[in-house]
Amino acid sequence: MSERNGRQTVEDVLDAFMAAEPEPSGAVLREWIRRYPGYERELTDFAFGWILAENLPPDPDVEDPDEETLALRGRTIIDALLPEEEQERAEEVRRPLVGLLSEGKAFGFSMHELAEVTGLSPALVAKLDQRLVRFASVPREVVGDLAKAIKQSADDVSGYLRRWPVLPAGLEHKADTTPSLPEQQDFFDAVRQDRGLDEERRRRLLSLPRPDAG
Amino acid sequence: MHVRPLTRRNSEGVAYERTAEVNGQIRAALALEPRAVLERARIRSHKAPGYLREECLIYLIREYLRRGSVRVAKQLSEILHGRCARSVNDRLRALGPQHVEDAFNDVMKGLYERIYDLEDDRGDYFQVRFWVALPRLATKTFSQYVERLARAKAKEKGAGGPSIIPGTEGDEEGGPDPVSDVEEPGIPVEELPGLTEGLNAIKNPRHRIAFVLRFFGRVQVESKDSDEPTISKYFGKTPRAIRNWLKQAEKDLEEWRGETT
Repeated sequence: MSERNGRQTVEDVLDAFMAAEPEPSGAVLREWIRRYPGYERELTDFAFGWILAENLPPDPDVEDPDEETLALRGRTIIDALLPEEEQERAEEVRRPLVGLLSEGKAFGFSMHELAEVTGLSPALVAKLDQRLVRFASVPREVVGDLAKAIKQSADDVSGYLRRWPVLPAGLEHKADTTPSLPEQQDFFDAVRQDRGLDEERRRRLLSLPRPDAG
Repeated sequence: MHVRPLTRRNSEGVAYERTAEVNGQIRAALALEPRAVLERARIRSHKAPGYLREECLIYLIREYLRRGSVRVAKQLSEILHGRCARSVNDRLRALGPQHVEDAFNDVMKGLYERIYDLEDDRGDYFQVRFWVALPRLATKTFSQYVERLARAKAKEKGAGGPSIIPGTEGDEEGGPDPVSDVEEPGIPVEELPGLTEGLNAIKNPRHRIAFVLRFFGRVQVESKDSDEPTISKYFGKTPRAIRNWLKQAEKDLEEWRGETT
C-alpha cells in the first residue's frame, strides 16, 4: 500500500511487542531493543509507559464519566471526522413500507422464518404481503406482531395492509385480457382454510378478537 | 462475497491476515441489508449467535464508507465506540482530571483516523487483533502525556534540563551528596501490592514514575550493559540523582504508611 516511513514501521514493532509480551519488564525490553536497535527510544518510551499504565493507581480526583458522557465524546469525534452529506440526511425521512416479505428479508428473515416469529403460516404471510386479506378482519395482535418483527410501527403496517391487493408478479403479462384484482379474503376464513397451519396455532389465531366485531 | 485482503506487513515483513472467524463474519454481514447489519452489530454478548467482533466492525465501517454510506459507517462507529470507550478511559485515569479527557480524545481520534483513511493501511492491525492494537494506541498516548507532565513539573520546580550549578551532578532538589554513594531503598516484592494505593502520596511525579519503574517494572537504575534500558537513561539524569529520587519517594511512602496505620 503506501510507502513505509519510520513512523509506520515503529507502530508495527510496538504492535508485535505488545502482542508477544504478557507484561513489560526491563529484561524483556532489553531483548526487543537487541532485535530492533534502531527503535531503542521508541521501545523504551512505550515499555515504560506500559509499566506505568499498568501500575500507577487512578488519580483520586478523576471522576468516572458515565456511559452517556463517553458516548457523547465519541459522537463529537466521529461527527468531526465524518461530516454527513445533506442528501443522506434527507433520505432518513421515512420511506413507505413496500412489502412485508421484503422488509423481513432486510432483517435476514425468509418467508418461513417470518411466519415463525409472527405465529402465522407461510401462506398467511404471503397473503398478507399481497394484501389478499381484508384489512378490517385482521386482528390488532397480528398487525402488532408483524410490526415488531420487521421493526415498523403498527400504523405503518396497517397503512400497508389497507392498500389495494397486489397482482401476483408477471400475471399482467400472461393474461389475454386485463386481469381483475383478486377478491380479498376474511382473515379468520383464511386461517380456517389454511392446510399448512398447525392446530395449536390455528386455535390461537381463531381465539383473537375480531377488530370488525360489534 | 469478496473480502478485501489486508495490505500491511508486520515487523517481520509478513502480511497481516484476519482470522478465519472474522473473515466469516465479514462475509455473512456483507450479504445483509444495512439495517440487519446494525442489528447484529448491536449484539453485545460475544457468546450470542450473530455477534460481530470488533475486527469485523472495522472492516464494515470502511466498506460502507467506500460505498458512500456515511450514515451507516457512523452508526457502526458509535457501536464500536460503545464497546471500547470505557477500557480506554480506565487506562488513562492516572493522568489526572486536567488531562484524562484530552488523552482519551487523542486516543479515540487516532483510532477513527486510522479506520476512516481508506488510502492508508496503518489501521490494518486493528482488523487482526483489535484488543492488542487499541491498548497499544492508548499506552503510547499515556506515555506521551506522562513524559510531557514530568517535563512540565520539572520546569515548575526549576529543575529541568541542565543542572542549576554547572558542572555538578546529583539531585537537583538537594544537591550532590559528597560523602557517600546514595543507596537505593530496598522494597521486598511482596510489599508492592500494598503500596499501590500509596503511590499517589509520592509528591513529585518524577519520583513516582522512577519508583514504579524500579520496583514494579524491575527496571535498573543504571547498568554496565549499554543495551540495557535504565531509569537513568530514560530521564537523562545521573544514577545518583535517580537514587535520591527513590529515597525521597520511600520517605513519602513512610509518611503515608504512618498516616494510615
